[in-house]
Amino acid sequence: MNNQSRLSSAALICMLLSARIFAVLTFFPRSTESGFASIIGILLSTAVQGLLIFPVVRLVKKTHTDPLSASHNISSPLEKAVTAAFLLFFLYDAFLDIGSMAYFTDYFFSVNMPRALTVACCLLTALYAARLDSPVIGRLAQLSIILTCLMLLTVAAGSAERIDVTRFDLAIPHVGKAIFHAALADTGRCECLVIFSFYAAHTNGDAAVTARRFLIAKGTIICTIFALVTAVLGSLSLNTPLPVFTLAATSENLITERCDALFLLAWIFTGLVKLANLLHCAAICIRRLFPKSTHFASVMSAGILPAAAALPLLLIYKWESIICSERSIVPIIVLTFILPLILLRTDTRSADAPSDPSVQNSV
Amino acid sequence: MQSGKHILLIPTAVLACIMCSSFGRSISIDRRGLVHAIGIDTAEHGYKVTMQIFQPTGGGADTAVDSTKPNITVAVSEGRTVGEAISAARSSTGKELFFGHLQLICIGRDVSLADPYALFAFALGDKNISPAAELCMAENTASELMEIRLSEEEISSEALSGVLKLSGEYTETVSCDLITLLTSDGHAAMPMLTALSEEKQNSSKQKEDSGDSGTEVSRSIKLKGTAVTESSDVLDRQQATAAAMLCGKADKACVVSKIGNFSVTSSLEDISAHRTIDLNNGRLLLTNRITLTARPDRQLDSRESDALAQAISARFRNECDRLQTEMLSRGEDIFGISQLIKHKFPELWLKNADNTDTLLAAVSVHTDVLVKVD
Amino acid sequence: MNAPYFDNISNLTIPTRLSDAVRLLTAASGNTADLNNISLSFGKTSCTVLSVEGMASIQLMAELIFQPLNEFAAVPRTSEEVKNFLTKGSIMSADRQLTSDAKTVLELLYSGFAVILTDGCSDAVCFGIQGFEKRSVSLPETEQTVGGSRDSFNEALRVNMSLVRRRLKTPALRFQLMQVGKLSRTDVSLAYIEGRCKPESVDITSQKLRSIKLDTILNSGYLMTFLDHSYSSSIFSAVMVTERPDVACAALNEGKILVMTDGSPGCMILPTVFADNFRTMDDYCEKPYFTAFSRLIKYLAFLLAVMLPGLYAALVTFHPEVFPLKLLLNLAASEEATPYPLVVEMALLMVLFEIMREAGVRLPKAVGGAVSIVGGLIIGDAAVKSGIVSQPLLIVVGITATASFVLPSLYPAISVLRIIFILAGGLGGIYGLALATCLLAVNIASADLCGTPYTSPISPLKAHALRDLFTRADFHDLQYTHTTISDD
Repeated sequence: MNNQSRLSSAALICMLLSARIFAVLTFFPRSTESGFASIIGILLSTAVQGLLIFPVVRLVKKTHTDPLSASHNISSPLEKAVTAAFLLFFLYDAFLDIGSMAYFTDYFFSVNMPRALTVACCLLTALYAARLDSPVIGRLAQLSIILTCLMLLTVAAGSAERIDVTRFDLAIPHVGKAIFHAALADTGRCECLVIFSFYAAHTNGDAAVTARRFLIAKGTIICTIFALVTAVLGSLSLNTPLPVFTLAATSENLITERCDALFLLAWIFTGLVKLANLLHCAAICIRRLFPKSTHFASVMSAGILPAAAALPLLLIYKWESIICSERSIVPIIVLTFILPLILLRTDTRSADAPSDPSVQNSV
Repeated sequence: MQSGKHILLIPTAVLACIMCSSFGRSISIDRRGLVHAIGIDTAEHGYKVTMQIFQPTGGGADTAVDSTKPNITVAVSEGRTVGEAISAARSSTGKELFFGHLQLICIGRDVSLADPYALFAFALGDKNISPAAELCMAENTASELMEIRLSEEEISSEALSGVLKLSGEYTETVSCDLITLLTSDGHAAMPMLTALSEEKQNSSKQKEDSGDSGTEVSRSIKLKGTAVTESSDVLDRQQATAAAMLCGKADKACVVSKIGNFSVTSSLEDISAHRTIDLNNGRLLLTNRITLTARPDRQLDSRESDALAQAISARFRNECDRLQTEMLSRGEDIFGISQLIKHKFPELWLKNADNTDTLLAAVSVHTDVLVKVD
Repeated sequence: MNAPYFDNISNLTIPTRLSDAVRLLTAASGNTADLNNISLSFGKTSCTVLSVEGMASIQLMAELIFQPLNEFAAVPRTSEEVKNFLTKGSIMSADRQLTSDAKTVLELLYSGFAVILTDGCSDAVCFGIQGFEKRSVSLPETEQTVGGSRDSFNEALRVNMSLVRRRLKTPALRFQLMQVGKLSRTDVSLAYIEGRCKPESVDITSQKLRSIKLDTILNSGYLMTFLDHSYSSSIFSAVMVTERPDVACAALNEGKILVMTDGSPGCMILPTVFADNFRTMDDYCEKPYFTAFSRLIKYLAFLLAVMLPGLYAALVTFHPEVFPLKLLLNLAASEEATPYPLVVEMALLMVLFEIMREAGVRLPKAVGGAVSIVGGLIIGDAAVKSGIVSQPLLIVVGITATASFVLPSLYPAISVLRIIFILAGGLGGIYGLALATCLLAVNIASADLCGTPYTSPISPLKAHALRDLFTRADFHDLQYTHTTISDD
């Protein structure tokens, strides 16, 4: 495979982090009962995720291919089924992403920008990025992570004097249940694991090392965000619709009274990178299913489908019901754990066998 | 691969979308009514809201705003909830009210703080209102404070905030903001301000025109004490200092101590408080450790310094113990002890979740004050 | 000749008969008035010296050609003897070429060579005695430094090549020469250091240049669109133009390729990365701490130049809560008196500024200064006093304008981006600004040339190259480790 179209390990980690951080910055799961319990749940969930992606790492190490190519080597119908599964997941996630961006943009900004145009702007910008190669999206993700880290540092510095460690408490009726729910909620929002299983075979570095670094970075950043929100806002964080935004609004420094504008800049940037990533992955799946389509056409259709699905719900103001519903972890477990495990067991090829030529330049 | 020139249509389309969507919908800064302070009182059918809105009187010598004038206009409205009252004010002022710089929320004496989340729902639901807005209580009604046009800063609320901030810094009162009130489930102490009687009469005669010259802070308002939200008690200055120390909000203070035959005035600085709570024989023991540095106004020898340290230490130890015991016996946790118990003994807290007043009343308090005389 | 190209005389050889040869070349030149024709006789053998008026040096021609030939003509000579004398028996010029191709002869003639045709010989001997008027090596005009050298490239390709060679006395420095342009036949030189540069990059660049089918190449800018495939779609260019030989040599040392064009004082460097626009020669003359400081100032200047107006418009219109209270009150009071929305004021001021800048560039130096006074002091001050624009806005525009002059190489991009960000921020707030930033980031991230991404070394991350990004690598370290753009 051409080295130039391969992702670097750092770029992949940043792409995955962008996907996860956007979800955290947007809103906390509705089932959150305690910030401290959530942090413990996240740590547990991160450890479990290390086991979840183990089959993917093994598959990559053994076959040097992603699940789509591995299924191609077994049978064509299986390949189509696997590709369709990934495609549906990416399209669904893009649908959630576009809808959330439009919905919360409407909330954040005092000027009522029509939701249709908000969707159009997000979609076009994401398409502009998604039509390019994955290393370019990786570079974009690296920039977004740098911006996000700067934003978090600024917010933390501005809120430092309000931090009170006594706000970390487990005074909730069913601690174990709360931690379990927090772990489930965190895993349910980790579509980054599916993206990892999609891209793991297309990086320059070792997949196991990349996975380890990613999980450590993810756990650290997510726990830090939860910890900061809890330490500063305490129980208020459970009563505001958007805790991180509220935290940014309380953060004060010498130059600005509030940091919510910086938060919004980082939030939108991260969201667009995530959306571009999802559309790119979906476009690759579409090209596998319909090989005659061009890359740009597949990117366009990958973008238009979820936008068209999200728009009616946004226009009739029913998006909140989508937000409030808990996300199932079943698709993530299937695509990240079960499917690679099955492929690992059924794949009888050696590591030296040539990979699928049709996807050599598709990533 | 798409032609390079054709692909530029996408960014152009994005810009076009932005331009189409926002043309005519943006609100210019001069069309916004910048609300800096809001007073909430009870009214016949709900709440009465008094707002101070920025209105420049004209340019100063070097700046666009003349800081010798009050530069505010006052808007009053009523509604069943505070949010409804605010909405009514929008139409009366003819400007899009903007609460992004809301510095001060003044609560009238008769407003109940039993359910702060319901009262301040307008703030929680509005993304512009910062949870760091300061709170204070008016001795009588908030509207009489809001209608005083102070001229010492560019706007009145800056002067009011300045008074509160400095008073809090010098431990004359305990400062309070929206986050503190909401995270402490309504148990908090906050400054209480009162309008001086002369200014009360003058304010009713003042015109609505913000071009009026305004009045000075020292002649218009006064810090009455520190109000405890739960019981509406008012703490005096000494109690306020002790409360501020126990809450960890004390910065500086000033005390007068008698050493032998003479009085020594000491400035207290570097005040820090650390507290721990332990379970001792089934009883909660709260230990407060306060350290501070005292700078007396005269030279003292070592014996006198020790005596001064002991005097200050004893004074504050007794004051803190007395105040804390009294407050906790009434279930008024303005010191955040509930949070400490939740943090350290969550099961105990949960066990007594329905009876927290009793739990707090059973806490034994011990305070150590370490004074270093400079 | 129907077309003004050499197509119809290509593959023609010089006739052996002198008169036929002279007639052929004169006709091919269209009997142009600037073609000089001087005949010499060596007994039975005749010679003709052809040169173009103003292209060949008269003095060199007299000293190096006519004087030796006159001495040689004292005795009758055969054509063979004359040819031997011209090619081997004398030192008449360092650059000497022997050709029988009519097209090559004409190219050399118009390049300032003196062509000697001998009766009975089909080979023309061409001597490089160029003496056309050229500008001397002067101070760099657009890339001034405090501690760096004071010479710059000029329009003569050979002079530029010598300026590079003088600084890199290594046999690894290679020059490739080619002619580009069907009509102009402009000399273009490719320079690189063997072993530092990727060979495939050189080959690709050379191929791209040779495939250009333009009629004339009058400036290095003509070539940029062919060298940089993302030229028309990218805001920034992965090809940088410099007029400084020291900068060019530093680029060669990093494994980059130089493209020098005859007639153009700018030397193109490729591939460049975004960070290259923030590096100057002064950085390597100062101490590292000051270099770090000035680099940060440059990065800050870029951000201010591009984003400050748009950010200001976005915050004032959509997010006034960000401003400190006192500042906001003054802004609100200032804007009350102005008739237009902020974004309109901002756009008007920026356009006015660009008009004044353009006027200042085009006017003679003596008058250019007056434009600054008229524009800055009179128009700006009067606009504020009359209430058309507000004072804070004028300050923002002033800061932006000053910041944009810190990076002259990025000025075109900054000017356009600034307007885009003003519209995006002023009409869409932080949301519009974020979209514009994302689009710009995509545009920058997608640019790459010769396998080097434009966002390198930040993305892909190259830790060893980062030390030269925000500061300057210590020379002691550079003794032992040297990084190039091709290092992984």
